Amino acid sequence: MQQTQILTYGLTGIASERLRELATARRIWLRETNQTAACQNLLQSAPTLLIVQLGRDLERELALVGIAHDCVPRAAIVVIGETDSAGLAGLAWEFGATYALFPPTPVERLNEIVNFMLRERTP
Amino acid sequence: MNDSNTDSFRWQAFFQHAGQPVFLLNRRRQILFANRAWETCTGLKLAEVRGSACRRRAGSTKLERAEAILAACAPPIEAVHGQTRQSRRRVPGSLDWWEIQFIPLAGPEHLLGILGIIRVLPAPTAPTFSLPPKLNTLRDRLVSRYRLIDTAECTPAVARMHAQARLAADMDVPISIVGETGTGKEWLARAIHQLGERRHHAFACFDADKIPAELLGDVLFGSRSRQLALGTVYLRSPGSLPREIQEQLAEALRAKENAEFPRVIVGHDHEPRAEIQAGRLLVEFHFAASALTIEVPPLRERLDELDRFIEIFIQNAGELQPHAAAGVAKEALNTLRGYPWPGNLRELQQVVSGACQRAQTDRIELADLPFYLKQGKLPAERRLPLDTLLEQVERRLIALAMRLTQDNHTRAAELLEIWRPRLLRRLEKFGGNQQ
Repeated sequence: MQQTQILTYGLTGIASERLRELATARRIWLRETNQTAACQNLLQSAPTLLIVQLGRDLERELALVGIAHDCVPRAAIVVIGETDSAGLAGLAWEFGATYALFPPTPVERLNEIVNFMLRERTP
Repeated sequence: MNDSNTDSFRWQAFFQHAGQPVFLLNRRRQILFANRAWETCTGLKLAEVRGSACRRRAGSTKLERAEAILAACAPPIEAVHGQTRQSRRRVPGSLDWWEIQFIPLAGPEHLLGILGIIRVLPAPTAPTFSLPPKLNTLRDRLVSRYRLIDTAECTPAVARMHAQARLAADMDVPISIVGETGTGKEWLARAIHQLGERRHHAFACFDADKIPAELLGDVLFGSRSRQLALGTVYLRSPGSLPREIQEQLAEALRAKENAEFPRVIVGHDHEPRAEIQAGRLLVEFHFAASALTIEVPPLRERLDELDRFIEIFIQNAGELQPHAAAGVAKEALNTLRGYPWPGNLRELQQVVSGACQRAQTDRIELADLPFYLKQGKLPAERRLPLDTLLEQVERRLIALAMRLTQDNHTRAAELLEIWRPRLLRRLEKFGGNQQ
């Protein structure tokens, strides 16, 4: 079986910070980037899970979600938004997010979601 | 509190003053007690319904109001078996929902009764959002890809699928899409959404295997649902949905009174009947969600369209990383055509994407394709006898350890982190030729 791999994109690194402990405990390869172009390149390694934290460049970030959905169909995609914007959350679903984690759902639930998504892949 | 106080404690009066609607059922699920808040919330009087059983009425949509409310208060089977459960139920004749906590009260031998506490979920406000023009343009670009194109290469099965999809788009009813894994069921669901009246709302694909049930319930029925204003929901792996959500979905689809509830399209990788027989898929939900069933043929039955798919996937691969490939050499194309594609379009996409990365010229050559494809045999068909392979590895490691320690058994055993007698036994088994 291929090594379980989580790829995170975000300017603040919130997602990778939250997942570091879980990744170590479950021997998951955690890769982090804050550039959409680099993230797009890293998608070639077919990550199991892609986490995109929306930031300043929504257009590029959502396009990244769309590309990941089309080109790595097996990967689960979690999109994290900081503002309670139903329109943006809907757009994230539309572009292919497996789950759009937007307020009022707290970002603290990220670990629970990731654990659930990877429950059959790692010990 | 002393004994006399405990004896005189009137629990009914205590619950009467509770602000939350509370009701108590005996083990036959008959109503023993309900407080004033329950009466206000349901519009029923306790005196009228005391002793009435709270049971779900499968498939019935035209119940009397009292009957419908009693059915909504019916405990799930898990609660009857002694487990605390929380259920979300549609308020009869309303767009609101109740979240009911069922707490079983166990006696020394059997269940005494079940306490139900209702929390009324307030109706969320209608969405008030607009997207910046740049994002709208991006969305338009995305959705423009989901179009049903009838080409000359389309087989009759594909033409029928397209016709059914167009019909489905006009009807706005729940649909089931059946097809093998990777045949493009989600793509078809998106195309139907784009053709339908709800295309201005968002499309969401929910995979029951990948989203925790509680969060999925919240997006479908909770406060998030109306805020998101989803137009169409595509449900993957419906058999993995918790029973509770399947019941709620069946109810919501049958009721049809909430126009804001998203249109539901269900994708089945296998024949739904097998899932029903296995007890994973509720028959009520399946029937409610399959007003129309569309079958997606596997790729091996639509090989005439292979060229078109390859073209699309070469283009997709270019989005991920620029590459030189723009087409496929004849020899490679013949190989691709000769393969049965058990993984369907998803497998084809992986093969094309990998070949694009390897391609040295503007065409994908035979050498760029994976080895198993050229062999004409699936990797899964190759035998992998685990015991034999492990023995080979063990033999090699022992030989290496013996060589490194210049045939010193004690040191070789230490190196291999095994006991010396075990090493000697293995050496004996392998014929002592390690030395």
